[in-house]
Parts: sequence; structure tokens; C-alpha cells
Amino acid sequence: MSTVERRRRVSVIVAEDHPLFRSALVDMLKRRPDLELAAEAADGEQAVHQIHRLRPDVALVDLRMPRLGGMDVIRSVVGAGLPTRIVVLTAEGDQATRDALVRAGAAGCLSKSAEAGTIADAIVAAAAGRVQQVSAAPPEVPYGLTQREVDVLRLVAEGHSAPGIAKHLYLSPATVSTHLKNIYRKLEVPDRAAAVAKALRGGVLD
Amino acid sequence: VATERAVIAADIDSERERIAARLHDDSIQVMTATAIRLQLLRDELDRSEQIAQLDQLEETVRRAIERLRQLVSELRQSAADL
Repeated sequence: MSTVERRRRVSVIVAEDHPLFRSALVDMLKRRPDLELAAEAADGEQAVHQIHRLRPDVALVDLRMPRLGGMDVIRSVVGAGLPTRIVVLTAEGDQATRDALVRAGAAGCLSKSAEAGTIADAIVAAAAGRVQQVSAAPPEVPYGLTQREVDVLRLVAEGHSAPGIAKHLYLSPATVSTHLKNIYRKLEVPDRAAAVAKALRGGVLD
Repeated sequence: VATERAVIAADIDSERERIAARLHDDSIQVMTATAIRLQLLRDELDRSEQIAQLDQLEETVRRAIERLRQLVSELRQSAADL
């Protein structure tokens, strides 16, 4: 049994006022076996109420919401000394705002345009006590690789097998092998070793 | 005349801000939700040609989001210039 399976699932509250965006976030959480939805909130006031009542591990909170915004939620939770860690999603994503959020006690701050997997990973990282900031504009990846393909490539470079990568990223082995094929095609290489070498040379991996 | 002009300028200004806010708070959120759902779908696909098509679709949505953002900033800029 892997460590992920043994670990308790991270409970999460999603606070976002836009109903379609909130439902996309909720569906993202539901697909992750390591995350569990505790509640949804449509504004900051509901979020604060639910955090106090349910004490989730993490609250994923929109910066701009009616009544109370993300910053107010952080202040309330930090002020009350609750253990819930807060990950903020921002549409604007200027550095000054992100710095202020982290100073106020946010465990993470991500752009709303971050990839679904990145947001989920930031929730897991926050629950584990790490602070993460992801810049608004996803960095341009060389060779037209997607962020997911870079994730796969990084695990390849760390020596994981395809089934190991599948487990790590919660993907089917077939999806991983498709990602690998696409990586080889984009990097114009024949195999894993060549892919890793080219990725390191091209600055895809550090 | 100067007062009338100022009133019209203020009206245009607030109308531009209203449109910018709607784009920012609604249209861009809907498109971003679409991008997230495309990513969720991608993790379920196994065939590389399907994934390639989905990547293109996601890229198209990202471009639309970028253009909407650009439009929001232009609207806010011109509102400030009036």
C-alpha cells in the first residue's frame, strides 16, 4: 500500500462566488482521491462560518467575494487561531497582493488560471504545512510542453517508472504512456533518457 | 457646455467600468472554469490524437481568456484617460 493510500484525505472547503467556477473547482476536488470536499461557500461570510463549524484542513478561497473577501477570511481564521490553512485564488495576481496575503497568513496563493492539478497540489502542500506561491502567468514552457507533461518529465528524471508516475499523478498508466509519447514527439527524442537529457539542456527541468 | 461634457465623460467612464467589471467577474470566470474542466477531461483520455485535440482546445480557451483580460485592461485604461 502506498503512503498516499494510508494517509488521511485532506478535507477542503471551497469558497468562490461564481457558481460555474466553484462547480469546476468542486469537480476537480472530487476527482482527487487524496482530497475530500467538506463544504462549499458562495461568499466570505459563509466561508468563515463553515471554517469555524467544520474546521477543515484547508480552505480554498477566492480573493474577491461579496461581503467578506479572501483577506478578511484569512484574518478571521488566523485571528481565531484555527488550524485551517488557507489557499487563496486570485484573478489579478500582482506580486504585492500575493505578498500581503502570505504575510497575513495564507498558506498558498495561486492564479485562477493555474492548472487544475497545480491547484490541487497546492492544497495538499498547504495541508502538509508548506507555503506556495504560483505566479499569475504560467511560465512559458519550452518545446510547447504542457505543465502536465513537465510534471511527468520531472518524475521520469527522478527515476520513476510509468506505473509509479501514474500513481503519483493519479492518472491511468495508459494516460501516462500517452503523455510520454507526446513528450518524445515534442522534444524529438526516441526515449526516456534522451528526453531527460534534452529537458535538462533546454531548461525545462532544473 | 463644459459641464455637459463632464457629465457625458463621467457616464462613458462608468459604463466602461461596468462592462470591464462584467467581463472580469463573469465572462473570464466562465472561460477559466471551462479551462479547468478541459484539464480534468484530459486526464481521462488515453488516445494521443484525442489529447492533442484537447490541448488545442485548451490553448484556444486560454487565448480567449488572454484577449478578454486585454480588453478589460483597455477598457479600464480608456476610462482612466477620459
